[in-house]
Amino acid sequence: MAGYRLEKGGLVGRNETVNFTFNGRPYVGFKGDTLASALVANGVSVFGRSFKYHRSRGLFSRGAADPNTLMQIGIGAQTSPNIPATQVPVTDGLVANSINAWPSVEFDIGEINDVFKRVLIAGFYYKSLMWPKWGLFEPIIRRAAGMGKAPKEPDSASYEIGNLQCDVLVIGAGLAGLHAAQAAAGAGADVIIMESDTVAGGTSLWSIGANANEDVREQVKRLVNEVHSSPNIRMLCSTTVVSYHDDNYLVAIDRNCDAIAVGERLIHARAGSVVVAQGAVERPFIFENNDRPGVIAADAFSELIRRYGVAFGKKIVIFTNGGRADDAIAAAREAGIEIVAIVDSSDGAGSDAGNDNRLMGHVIKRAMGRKRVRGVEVVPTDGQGSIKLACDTVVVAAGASAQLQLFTQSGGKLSYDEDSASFLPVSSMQNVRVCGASNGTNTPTSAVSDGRWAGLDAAASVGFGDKPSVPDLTRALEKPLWFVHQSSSKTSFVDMQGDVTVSDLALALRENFRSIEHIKRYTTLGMGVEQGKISGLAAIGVISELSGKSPGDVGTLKHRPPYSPVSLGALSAGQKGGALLAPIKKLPAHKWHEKQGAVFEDHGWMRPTYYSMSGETMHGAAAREAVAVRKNVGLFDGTPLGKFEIKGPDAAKFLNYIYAGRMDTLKVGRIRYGLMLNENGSLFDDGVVVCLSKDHFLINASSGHADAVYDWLEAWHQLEWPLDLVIQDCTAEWAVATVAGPKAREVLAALNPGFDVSAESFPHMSYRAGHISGVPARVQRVSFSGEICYEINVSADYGEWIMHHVQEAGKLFGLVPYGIEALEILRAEKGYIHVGTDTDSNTQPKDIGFPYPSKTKESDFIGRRSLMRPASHSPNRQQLVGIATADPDTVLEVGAHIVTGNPAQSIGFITSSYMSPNLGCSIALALMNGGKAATGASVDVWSLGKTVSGTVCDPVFFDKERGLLNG
Amino acid sequence: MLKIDCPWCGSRNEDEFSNGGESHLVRPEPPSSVTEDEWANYLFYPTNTKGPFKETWFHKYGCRQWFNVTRNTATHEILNVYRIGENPPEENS
Repeated sequence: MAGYRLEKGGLVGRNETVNFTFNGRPYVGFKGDTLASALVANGVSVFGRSFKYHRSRGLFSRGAADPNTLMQIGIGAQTSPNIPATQVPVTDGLVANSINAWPSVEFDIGEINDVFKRVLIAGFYYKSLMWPKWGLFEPIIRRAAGMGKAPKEPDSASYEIGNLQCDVLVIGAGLAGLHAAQAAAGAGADVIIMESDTVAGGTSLWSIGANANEDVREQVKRLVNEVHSSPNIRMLCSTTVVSYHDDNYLVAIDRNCDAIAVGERLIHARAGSVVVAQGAVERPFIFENNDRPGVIAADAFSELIRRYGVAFGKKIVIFTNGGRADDAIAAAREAGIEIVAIVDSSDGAGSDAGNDNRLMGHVIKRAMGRKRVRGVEVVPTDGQGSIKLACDTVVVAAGASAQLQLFTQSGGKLSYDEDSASFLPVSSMQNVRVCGASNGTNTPTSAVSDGRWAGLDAAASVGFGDKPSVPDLTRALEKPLWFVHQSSSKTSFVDMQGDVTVSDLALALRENFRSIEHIKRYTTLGMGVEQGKISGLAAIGVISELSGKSPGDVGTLKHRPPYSPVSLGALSAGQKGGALLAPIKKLPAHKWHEKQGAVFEDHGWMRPTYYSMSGETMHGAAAREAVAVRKNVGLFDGTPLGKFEIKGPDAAKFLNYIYAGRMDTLKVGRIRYGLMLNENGSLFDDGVVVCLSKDHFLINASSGHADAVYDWLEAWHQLEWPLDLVIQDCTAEWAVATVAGPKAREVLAALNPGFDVSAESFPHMSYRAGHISGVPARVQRVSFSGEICYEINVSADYGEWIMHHVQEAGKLFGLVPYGIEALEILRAEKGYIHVGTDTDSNTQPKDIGFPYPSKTKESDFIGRRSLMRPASHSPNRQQLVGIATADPDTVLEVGAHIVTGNPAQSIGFITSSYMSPNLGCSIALALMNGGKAATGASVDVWSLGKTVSGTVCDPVFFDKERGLLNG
Repeated sequence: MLKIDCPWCGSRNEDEFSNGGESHLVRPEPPSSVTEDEWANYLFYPTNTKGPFKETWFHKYGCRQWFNVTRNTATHEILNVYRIGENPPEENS
């Protein structure tokens, strides 16, 4: 037998039908139904198949806690996997499918796993399927694992992001939460209340409490209306708080946006104070086959009747331990459902269960049936005997688990309360307090008092009203039955979602996993979508009995965000995708580069890697450009170079601290190459310093490192040497046209900059200021290519113009634009390093040929003390060398190892490597142990199984006398 | 997501800032007088306080000023904020 729709009752809109499909079959529901309630109403018992054993599963719990009803919702681009059917409102045209079952949920081949349970126990992938080789089984296991399917097409939904602030944030709009919100607002606070369900009211929507008081539901309806119309309360339904962070910063997902075409809204909220009122959920009884379709938690059973007008079955057995099931009993009677028996594990003392024919002191040993319960076997708690009862439903009322995940995420601590057999909040780390059922209350009256107290307390803590006194609360007295000992432990499920049984937990304990965190990871307990909402406390109870420790000593699992699953789409809210995923920085002359046929790559800025003429490859273009620079003249865009002006009476003194070399002796109009070290003596950045005047310097930092150098300068100035100077970042304010080659001077002359460009008047490593066609220009004569080179700096507003203007002036001299790849070849030919490519975090100045500190510099600088350490003087340090290959056409792999000995040991590695078109052979730079002393030696260079012969040489391959630079 | 009160800009979210580690470190100098142990201590052995800890923060995406923060490393509670070169508030008379 199965579920059906009751003729009357429930809060669904019986006049508004909705058509949807499940596993390809059409069904009808009512507006207000969830997918779960509508399927039950239509007689569906098997919703899906379990993760490992592929056992048939049906509805067990409600809301985010249900472990069995994960569905694939929607088709095509908008399909979403693993959504609990209990959280899907039915809408017209909804398409839902079971997951983890093939070919169908009714007949699933995967059920064969249930037969092989012995082989698939906890940790099986460490123990079974080992012979002959795990690798043979792994692909099969991987294909079988995982639930649901990811969409294959781009997401067409859009997502919003919202930032909210409030004085008091209430999580949960049940009885306690609504009263908390009202009390806080009454004290004058600005309140936001977030409710995960589609409507407010919480348990009171279906539960009338222990005393069958119809008034509570009416009260709550009125209360909800009052809260909705209260001016300083914002109520957000369908909004789940998923994570709790520092300083009362919380993240929530709103799944019910009013705006059209917005899928979900990601909310970032900062609250002055927080009230947690998340309630509690019924946990499972643990007995043999407690996972069969037809076994349902008492709260879900009552909710189906009173909220959705649905009966879960026709002949029910109720399993309880004392007075817990009274609400379900009353609901079943209201709906006219036959109660076959009430099995009560308690001895009856102190309960008011007098007149309803209970089987006291009995437990359910096992449920019978596979795709639906068809009966139970009942045995006494002590003694012999066994009764079999026919039924189609088992309603279990084992005890409530207070929902405290967000509270523990906030840093709150829990403690085990023996009387109520639950973990309750005991101390907060932030401004947060818990009320209602999540604080262990079990009557409407207590929930109201607790809620009011929490609201007033929260408001007072941020300055609204007086701090209230703590109320007296009643809590349930529980005698928990953690698991039925008479049952077979192999099919007594503790975590239905992970197929974790009592025997798995016992196995973990036998294998000496003592901490519950280890037991969790070994058995996968609580690692599913449900994240321990109902399985957590159940497992702690089982472990407590098996190990003999009290639940308090077993402890709880640490809860981590998110509380329930979050779609990746929601997390992307507020960000654009595609080309705009990260900000793009374009050079001022971007359009000019495009016209030259530039092929761009993202180097922080979009920069030309090469310029492609009639279908050239990168290698062909770069070689052509590099040859052209050394033959005539080339034009390069150096705009991204870091540029920092240091101005003030102490500027030179500051630079002496920052650089390993002396900068105070740099004369006006002169330029000096400098190395910046970190305090460990390792290279941080290299670049040139220009002296504009006695108290005004311009630092050039590596293009890729400009932001880091700026932060570095500011930090040392503000934290260590607050000298009299200012630091100004002008990296993006100047565009740089770099003109390099033997004919560079002629091009500069043709630009008529207003100063003498002759070799004597404008030597290498000096600076001149002038105007080009009226545009102010700073010209630095520095070189990264080893040729005569001028870096012409103009305002970025003229960036496109200057490239065009220089190109025109250079036509006469065969000027060619060159890109990053050609520049790399040119600088490698000259042995010029890139910090971070040809150096690593250990490389010190002497390793690359700069024996700092120099004798002339007595003052301290960053890293000086570290250069005094014995390790800095070791002859075996990794030093910069060149490697020439025996075969000039073989280009070494960057990262290839220089090896020696048998077995081979690595004594260095290739850092840069190119085919040099100017030399007609391959060139490479490397860091090698004791490399300087090994100059001339033969070496083997190994990469990916291949060995190449080479010789250690001078890293400067081209123009060793540096004659060209000074021309 | 800490809420940090920049002394110049006011209350801002943590992601506008970057953390600079322990504050009030004294850089040993001059180099010639510093022993290996003193230098190693300065470079490699930070204080690993559980509890109120004085550290520096940089308002990287705001005013780009550094300042001091006393933060409890166990609870993350920020106790006070004060400028570089100032004394922590509780030490002021």
